[in-house]
Amino acid sequence: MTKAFQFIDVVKTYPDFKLGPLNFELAPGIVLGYIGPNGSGKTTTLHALVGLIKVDRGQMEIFGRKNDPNKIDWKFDIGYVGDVHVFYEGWSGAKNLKFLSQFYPDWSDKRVTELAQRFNVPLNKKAKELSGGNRVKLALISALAHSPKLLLLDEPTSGLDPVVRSEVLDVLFEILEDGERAIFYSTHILSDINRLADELAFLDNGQIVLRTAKDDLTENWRKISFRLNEPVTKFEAVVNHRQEGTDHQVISANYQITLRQLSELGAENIQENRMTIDEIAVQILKGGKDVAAVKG
Amino acid sequence: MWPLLKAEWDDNKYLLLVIFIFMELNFLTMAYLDRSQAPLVSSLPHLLTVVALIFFFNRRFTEKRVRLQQLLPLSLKDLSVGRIFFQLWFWAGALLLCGLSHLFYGSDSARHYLVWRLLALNSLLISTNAVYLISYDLWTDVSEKSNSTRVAIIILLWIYIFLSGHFYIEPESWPLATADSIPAVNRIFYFTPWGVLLLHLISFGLCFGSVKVYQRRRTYFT
Repeated sequence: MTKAFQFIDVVKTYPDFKLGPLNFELAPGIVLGYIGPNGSGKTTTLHALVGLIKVDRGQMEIFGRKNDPNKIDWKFDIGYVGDVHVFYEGWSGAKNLKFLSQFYPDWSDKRVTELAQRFNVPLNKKAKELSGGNRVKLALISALAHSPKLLLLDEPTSGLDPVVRSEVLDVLFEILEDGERAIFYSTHILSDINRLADELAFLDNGQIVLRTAKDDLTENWRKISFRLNEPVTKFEAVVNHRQEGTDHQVISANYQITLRQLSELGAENIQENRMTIDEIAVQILKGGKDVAAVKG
Repeated sequence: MWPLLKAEWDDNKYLLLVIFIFMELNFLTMAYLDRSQAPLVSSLPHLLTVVALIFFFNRRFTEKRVRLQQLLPLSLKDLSVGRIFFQLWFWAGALLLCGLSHLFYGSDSARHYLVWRLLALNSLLISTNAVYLISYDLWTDVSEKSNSTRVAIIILLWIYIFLSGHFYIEPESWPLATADSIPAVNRIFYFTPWGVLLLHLISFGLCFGSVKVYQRRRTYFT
């Protein structure tokens, strides 16, 4: 099956930062959350994919076509909402959308009208007069109006106040829940994507440290506390371990393996607790590559 | 590419009209003055043209605008060639105004050298346009070339532009030249078809260079 996108050995180096080598892909119809702290390389990944920067090594494909800047066919398949929303500022939202419509054969004015109504965007206002929330909404309309097969979202809600953020996300998720398009959603706020994501990729310092199904994480990760008298050098599948005397608290990336080992060791008072996706994300990003090794 | 050119015109038309009105007033004023009587004053319209051109560039070339264009389904070739044409609105208008003003209102001596002077001005404006674009790309791109190489290229290109402008505007006042050589340079490049042709070849070469530099950019951010 043709991948929605594919990164093959992609490397981009700056004087103080290196992204990659990145080797990952996204299947059609899957929503992938791209999670990482600020400065981890999320935006650089997206900039490389949409052609705003050139990489030093490797290649990227979108639905089987290389993202060659001298060709344009691959651009018809993507809708991109970036970290900065760019318009002709002196033009109204409607005029900006009309301008964009000239470039996309599959552009639908009907869809624009529908989306504008659902987002409640004043399209007659000049872009420079729109609030932050409405600018995001206008960017989303322009990204969705040609019904792209792959939607690339780069922290679209960053800089918005919580009320507007929630409003934008609600409408966005409602629109995207049809499950037909692949979505690559980059964010450092996991709760933004938790509702929608099928899979999660965790990026730390330019490297993907873990790629997993979201359900896998919530099913397998547990906070386990127990009492153990014997000294143990290594617990299996554990990414974080705290000890006070004989009381231990561990975070396990695979609680069944850990519990089996604890049982063999004769641990007592074992209590396991589910973790929220945010708590898991923090552990993964704190652990970096070590977490991937434990998971593997 | 054409929808983008139309959009750029639409976005800039009022600014262009204001610049044109301002320039036309200057052209008309200067056209009344005989060059032999007011050699320095007659250079002002040309200086103003270049200054306005650069002002116009600075307004248009921003990171956001480059990003907007780069994200459109247009090839790099279309975008890089389109950038040169964006400026067409300006220099074509300026040239027309300058030419008509001198033709209808200028003195006899102004009309005498008008054709080659105007064509020379044309090449100067195309060159300035291309050099600005090349400088913008080299300055804003984090490329593989070292900083000093890029700065050196930019400085050399602008030396060429300023020398061309200097010879064009007031060759007699060039401080390093002998009395005979400067008028000769001026005569060859700005008053003969071969000189004007050569200047145009250089300006088209610079345009080609700007297309290539844009396509070779490693990043489209500043």
